[in-house]
Amino acid sequence: MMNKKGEKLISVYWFAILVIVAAGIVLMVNAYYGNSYDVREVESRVLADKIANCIYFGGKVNPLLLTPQGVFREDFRDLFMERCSLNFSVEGEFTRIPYYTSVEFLSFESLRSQFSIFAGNNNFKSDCNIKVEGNEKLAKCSEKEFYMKTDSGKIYLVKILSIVEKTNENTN
Amino acid sequence: MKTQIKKKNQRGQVGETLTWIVATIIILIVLIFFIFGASLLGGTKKVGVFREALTSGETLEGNDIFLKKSLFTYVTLTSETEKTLLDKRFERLDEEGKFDISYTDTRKEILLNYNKR
Repeated sequence: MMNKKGEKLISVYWFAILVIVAAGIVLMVNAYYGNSYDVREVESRVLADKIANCIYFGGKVNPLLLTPQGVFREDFRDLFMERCSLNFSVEGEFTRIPYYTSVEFLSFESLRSQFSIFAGNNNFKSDCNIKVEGNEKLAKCSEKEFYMKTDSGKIYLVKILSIVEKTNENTN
Repeated sequence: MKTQIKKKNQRGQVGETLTWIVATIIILIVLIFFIFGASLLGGTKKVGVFREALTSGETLEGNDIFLKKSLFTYVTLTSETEKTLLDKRFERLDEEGKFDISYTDTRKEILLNYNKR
């Protein structure tokens, strides 16, 4: 009689343990997969790649960037977004633009700025200089550079800075 | 005699109950530890930081279009002075770890492809 009671108790105990372990696994999976992936670094790199390809592709400078005499065209700066097929617009009326990009053309020898283009929200520029632990809430920056040669034989160092904020979408 | 057996049974039952209580506590501690670990790991999820073993030449990590563009400019240069200056700048950038892929290997590959033309 006593043994039967004990066996019943043990079965209930095992059932309780099973439920606890199952609930624990569900919590673990939810805790891990519930958190969103942070893709801002990759997004900023993709943006920099796209701009680089727009400016210099296959060893040829974008013909709309320079005049036949090798002078930078002002209208390329004005129509930069259209020329490079970029669209920074976001949904919502009072939502701030979560992107910023700047392109600087420096002379090869003196490294002096010759021409610059920028677009987007420049409020995030300061985030790039902050080097602290746990900076997930700050915008992610990507600074890239490459050398390009124009048809007239001039060489420029092109520095591209791309910033993606989108903190709410990428962090918890 | 009967009372002695009863007492022994009770002692055994108390011992077994204690074992299970301790076991339950251990199970709960291990579970809480893993839940905490999973939530900590979940917070560090990033796309773009991959282990070397997981990346291949076809992934985003295995490509650096900026280095390739610069090297393409380098091979098309005619002036030796400009080439030497660019070489030095590449080496400095390589030392600073600015390239996503091997500078020497990519340079060899681009030079080889350019000379084939």
